[in-house]
Amino acid sequence: MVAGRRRPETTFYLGEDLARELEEYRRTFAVPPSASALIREALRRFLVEARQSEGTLPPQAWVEATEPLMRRLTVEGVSVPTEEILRGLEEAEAARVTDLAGEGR
Amino acid sequence: MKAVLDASVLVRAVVPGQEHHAEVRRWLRGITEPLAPHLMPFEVTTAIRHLEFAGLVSPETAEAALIEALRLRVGLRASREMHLQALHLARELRVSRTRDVAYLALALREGCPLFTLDERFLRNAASRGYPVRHPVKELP
Repeated sequence: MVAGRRRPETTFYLGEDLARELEEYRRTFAVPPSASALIREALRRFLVEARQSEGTLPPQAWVEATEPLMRRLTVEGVSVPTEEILRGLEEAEAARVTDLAGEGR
Repeated sequence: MKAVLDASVLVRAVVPGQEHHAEVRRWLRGITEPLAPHLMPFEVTTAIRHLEFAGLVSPETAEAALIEALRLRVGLRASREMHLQALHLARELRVSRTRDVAYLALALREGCPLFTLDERFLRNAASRGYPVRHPVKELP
Protein backbone atom coordinates (compact mmCIF):
# COMPACT_ATOMS: atom_id res chain seq x y z
CA MET A 1 0.00 0.00 0.00
CA VAL A 2 1.31 3.48 -0.86
CA ALA A 3 2.43 5.53 2.16
CA GLY A 4 -0.03 8.32 2.91
CA ARG A 5 -2.94 6.42 1.39
CA ARG A 6 -3.44 4.14 4.38
CA ARG A 7 -6.85 4.24 5.89
CA PRO A 8 -7.14 4.99 9.59
CA GLU A 9 -8.78 1.61 10.22
CA THR A 10 -5.81 -0.61 9.44
CA THR A 11 -7.00 -3.86 10.98
CA PHE A 12 -9.27 -6.04 8.88
CA TYR A 13 -10.73 -9.39 9.73
CA LEU A 14 -10.58 -11.98 7.00
CA GLY A 15 -12.30 -14.76 8.92
CA GLU A 16 -15.44 -14.93 6.80
CA ASP A 17 -13.46 -14.60 3.56
CA LEU A 18 -11.04 -17.31 4.64
CA ALA A 19 -13.87 -19.66 5.55
CA ARG A 20 -15.41 -19.08 2.10
CA GLU A 21 -12.08 -19.71 0.35
CA LEU A 22 -11.56 -22.88 2.34
CA GLU A 23 -15.02 -24.16 1.47
CA GLU A 24 -14.46 -23.48 -2.24
CA TYR A 25 -11.03 -25.10 -2.08
CA ARG A 26 -12.38 -28.26 -0.46
CA ARG A 27 -15.08 -28.51 -3.09
CA THR A 28 -12.47 -28.26 -5.83
CA PHE A 29 -9.44 -30.19 -4.58
CA ALA A 30 -8.93 -33.38 -2.60
CA VAL A 31 -5.48 -32.46 -1.24
CA PRO A 32 -5.11 -30.20 1.82
CA PRO A 33 -4.76 -26.49 1.02
CA SER A 34 -1.76 -24.29 1.66
CA ALA A 35 -2.69 -21.78 4.37
CA SER A 36 -0.61 -19.05 2.78
CA ALA A 37 -2.33 -19.53 -0.58
CA LEU A 38 -5.72 -19.26 1.07
CA ILE A 39 -4.76 -16.08 2.88
CA ARG A 40 -3.32 -14.58 -0.30
CA GLU A 41 -6.52 -15.32 -2.21
CA ALA A 42 -8.77 -14.03 0.57
CA LEU A 43 -6.69 -10.87 0.84
CA ARG A 44 -6.72 -10.38 -2.94
CA ARG A 45 -10.51 -10.59 -3.04
CA PHE A 46 -10.79 -8.34 -0.02
CA LEU A 47 -8.66 -5.68 -1.70
CA VAL A 48 -10.62 -5.93 -4.96
CA GLU A 49 -13.82 -5.30 -3.01
CA ALA A 50 -12.22 -2.48 -1.02
CA ARG A 51 -11.10 -0.78 -4.25
CA GLN A 52 -14.57 -1.15 -5.72
CA SER A 53 -15.98 0.49 -2.61
CA GLU A 54 -13.76 3.57 -2.79
CA GLY A 55 -15.88 6.71 -2.86
CA THR A 56 -18.99 4.85 -1.76
CA LEU A 57 -20.94 5.16 1.46
CA PRO A 58 -22.78 2.64 3.64
CA PRO A 59 -26.58 3.01 3.54
CA GLN A 60 -27.15 5.24 6.56
CA ALA A 61 -24.41 7.70 5.57
CA TRP A 62 -25.55 7.51 1.95
CA VAL A 63 -29.12 8.47 2.83
CA GLU A 64 -27.84 11.50 4.75
CA ALA A 65 -25.38 12.48 2.01
CA THR A 66 -28.06 12.37 -0.69
CA GLU A 67 -30.61 14.46 1.24
CA PRO A 68 -29.52 17.76 -0.37
CA LEU A 69 -30.05 16.33 -3.87
CA MET A 70 -33.43 14.91 -2.87
CA ARG A 71 -34.51 18.30 -1.53
CA ARG A 72 -33.34 20.00 -4.72
CA LEU A 73 -35.13 17.53 -6.99
CA THR A 74 -38.30 17.81 -4.91
CA VAL A 75 -38.22 21.60 -5.22
CA GLU A 76 -37.71 21.20 -8.98
CA GLY A 77 -40.84 19.05 -9.06
CA VAL A 78 -39.21 15.80 -10.21
CA SER A 79 -41.89 13.13 -10.04
CA VAL A 80 -41.76 9.75 -11.72
CA PRO A 81 -44.15 6.81 -11.54
CA THR A 82 -42.45 3.59 -10.43
CA GLU A 83 -44.24 1.70 -13.21
CA GLU A 84 -42.25 3.76 -15.68
CA ILE A 85 -38.99 2.60 -14.11
CA LEU A 86 -40.03 -1.05 -14.19
CA ARG A 87 -41.25 -0.65 -17.78
CA GLY A 88 -37.89 0.84 -18.75
CA LEU A 89 -36.06 -2.17 -17.30
CA GLU A 90 -38.37 -4.61 -19.05
CA GLU A 91 -38.06 -2.83 -22.40
CA ALA A 92 -34.28 -2.76 -22.08
CA GLU A 93 -34.16 -6.49 -21.40
CA ALA A 94 -36.54 -7.28 -24.25
CA ALA A 95 -34.43 -5.17 -26.62
CA ARG A 96 -31.28 -6.89 -25.40
CA VAL A 97 -32.76 -10.33 -26.00
CA THR A 98 -33.69 -9.25 -29.53
CA ASP A 99 -30.15 -7.96 -30.11
CA LEU A 100 -28.58 -11.15 -28.79
CA ALA A 101 -30.79 -13.20 -31.08
CA GLY A 102 -29.64 -11.08 -34.02
CA GLU A 103 -33.17 -9.98 -34.84
CA GLY A 104 -32.58 -6.28 -34.33
CA ARG A 105 -30.55 -5.74 -37.49
CA MET B 1 -29.52 -6.43 8.24
CA LYS B 2 -27.98 -8.15 5.23
CA ALA B 3 -30.24 -7.87 2.18
CA VAL B 4 -30.21 -8.19 -1.58
CA LEU B 5 -31.62 -5.05 -3.20
CA ASP B 6 -32.85 -4.91 -6.74
CA ALA B 7 -32.37 -1.90 -9.00
CA SER B 8 -35.93 -0.67 -8.53
CA VAL B 9 -35.30 -0.12 -4.81
CA LEU B 10 -32.21 1.98 -5.42
CA VAL B 11 -33.87 3.99 -8.18
CA ARG B 12 -36.85 4.66 -5.94
CA ALA B 13 -34.51 5.87 -3.21
CA VAL B 14 -32.75 8.28 -5.52
CA VAL B 15 -35.61 9.66 -7.64
CA PRO B 16 -38.22 11.58 -5.65
CA GLY B 17 -41.89 11.89 -6.48
CA GLN B 18 -42.59 8.16 -6.34
CA GLU B 19 -44.88 6.42 -3.92
CA HIS B 20 -43.08 5.50 -0.65
CA HIS B 21 -39.93 7.33 -1.74
CA ALA B 22 -39.28 8.76 1.74
CA GLU B 23 -40.19 5.48 3.47
CA VAL B 24 -37.79 3.51 1.28
CA ARG B 25 -35.00 5.94 2.15
CA ARG B 26 -35.78 5.56 5.85
CA TRP B 27 -35.87 1.78 5.50
CA LEU B 28 -32.52 1.79 3.70
CA ARG B 29 -30.85 3.26 6.79
CA GLY B 30 -31.39 -0.06 8.57
CA ILE B 31 -29.61 -2.14 5.92
CA THR B 32 -26.07 -2.86 7.04
CA GLU B 33 -24.92 -5.05 4.17
CA PRO B 34 -26.63 -4.40 0.82
CA LEU B 35 -25.84 -6.97 -1.84
CA ALA B 36 -26.69 -7.34 -5.52
CA PRO B 37 -25.60 -9.26 -8.60
CA HIS B 38 -23.07 -7.51 -10.82
CA LEU B 39 -25.82 -6.50 -13.24
CA MET B 40 -27.36 -4.04 -10.77
CA PRO B 41 -25.37 -0.90 -11.72
CA PHE B 42 -26.22 -1.53 -15.39
CA GLU B 43 -29.88 -1.78 -14.48
CA VAL B 44 -29.82 1.41 -12.43
CA THR B 45 -28.14 3.21 -15.32
CA THR B 46 -30.69 1.79 -17.75
CA ALA B 47 -33.64 2.82 -15.59
CA ILE B 48 -32.37 6.37 -15.15
CA ARG B 49 -31.50 6.70 -18.83
CA HIS B 50 -35.01 5.47 -19.66
CA LEU B 51 -36.50 8.28 -17.55
CA GLU B 52 -34.30 10.78 -19.34
CA PHE B 53 -35.06 9.30 -22.76
CA ALA B 54 -38.80 9.39 -22.06
CA GLY B 55 -38.49 13.08 -21.12
CA LEU B 56 -39.54 12.48 -17.51
CA VAL B 57 -36.35 13.93 -16.05
CA SER B 58 -33.79 16.36 -17.44
CA PRO B 59 -30.32 15.15 -18.46
CA GLU B 60 -28.88 17.09 -15.50
CA THR B 61 -31.25 15.37 -13.07
CA ALA B 62 -30.52 11.96 -14.58
CA GLU B 63 -26.79 12.48 -14.22
CA ALA B 64 -27.03 13.75 -10.65
CA ALA B 65 -29.30 10.85 -9.66
CA LEU B 66 -27.00 8.27 -11.23
CA ILE B 67 -23.88 9.71 -9.62
CA GLU B 68 -25.55 9.53 -6.23
CA ALA B 69 -27.04 6.07 -6.83
CA LEU B 70 -23.60 4.67 -7.64
CA ARG B 71 -22.23 6.05 -4.37
CA LEU B 72 -24.22 3.55 -2.33
CA ARG B 73 -21.87 0.82 -1.08
CA VAL B 74 -23.33 -2.39 -2.46
CA GLY B 75 -21.48 -5.70 -2.39
CA LEU B 76 -21.64 -6.85 -6.00
CA ARG B 77 -21.49 -10.59 -6.54
CA ALA B 78 -21.15 -12.89 -9.53
CA SER B 79 -20.68 -16.62 -9.83
CA ARG B 80 -21.39 -19.36 -12.32
CA GLU B 81 -23.53 -21.19 -9.78
CA MET B 82 -25.72 -18.11 -9.36
CA HIS B 83 -26.54 -18.00 -13.07
CA LEU B 84 -27.31 -21.70 -13.19
CA GLN B 85 -29.57 -21.36 -10.17
CA ALA B 86 -31.26 -18.38 -11.86
CA LEU B 87 -32.07 -20.62 -14.80
CA HIS B 88 -33.63 -23.21 -12.49
CA LEU B 89 -35.59 -20.56 -10.60
CA ALA B 90 -36.86 -19.02 -13.84
CA ARG B 91 -38.21 -22.44 -14.82
CA GLU B 92 -39.85 -22.93 -11.45
CA LEU B 93 -41.43 -19.46 -11.43
CA ARG B 94 -42.39 -19.83 -15.09
CA VAL B 95 -40.74 -16.61 -16.20
CA SER B 96 -38.64 -16.13 -19.30
CA ARG B 97 -36.43 -13.37 -17.95
CA THR B 98 -33.56 -14.27 -15.67
CA ARG B 99 -32.91 -10.72 -14.46
CA ASP B 100 -35.23 -10.91 -11.44
CA VAL B 101 -34.31 -14.46 -10.55
CA ALA B 102 -30.59 -13.64 -10.58
CA TYR B 103 -31.28 -11.38 -7.60
CA LEU B 104 -33.27 -14.17 -5.96
CA ALA B 105 -30.51 -16.71 -6.60
CA LEU B 106 -28.06 -14.41 -4.85
CA ALA B 107 -30.41 -13.94 -1.90
CA LEU B 108 -30.73 -17.71 -1.51
CA ARG B 109 -26.98 -18.16 -1.74
CA GLU B 110 -26.36 -15.45 0.87
CA GLY B 111 -29.18 -16.62 3.15
CA CYS B 112 -30.92 -13.25 3.26
CA PRO B 113 -34.11 -11.73 1.82
CA LEU B 114 -34.46 -10.03 -1.55
CA PHE B 115 -36.21 -6.67 -1.53
CA THR B 116 -37.94 -5.50 -4.68
CA LEU B 117 -40.70 -3.13 -5.76
CA ASP B 118 -41.78 -5.40 -8.58
CA GLU B 119 -44.99 -6.62 -6.97
CA ARG B 120 -45.82 -9.12 -9.69
CA PHE B 121 -42.49 -10.88 -9.28
CA LEU B 122 -42.69 -10.57 -5.51
CA ARG B 123 -46.09 -12.30 -5.35
CA ASN B 124 -44.97 -15.00 -7.73
CA ALA B 125 -41.80 -15.84 -5.77
CA ALA B 126 -43.30 -15.37 -2.30
CA SER B 127 -46.22 -17.67 -3.14
CA ARG B 128 -43.64 -20.43 -3.59
CA GLY B 129 -42.05 -19.67 -0.25
CA TYR B 130 -39.05 -17.66 -1.43
CA PRO B 131 -37.79 -14.81 0.80
CA VAL B 132 -38.84 -11.91 -1.42
CA ARG B 133 -40.22 -8.80 0.26
CA HIS B 134 -41.32 -5.24 -0.33
CA PRO B 135 -39.20 -2.74 1.61
CA VAL B 136 -42.09 -0.87 3.19
CA LYS B 137 -45.37 -2.48 2.16
CA GLU B 138 -47.06 -5.61 3.53
CA LEU B 139 -48.41 -7.55 0.59
CA PRO B 140 -51.11 -10.20 1.01
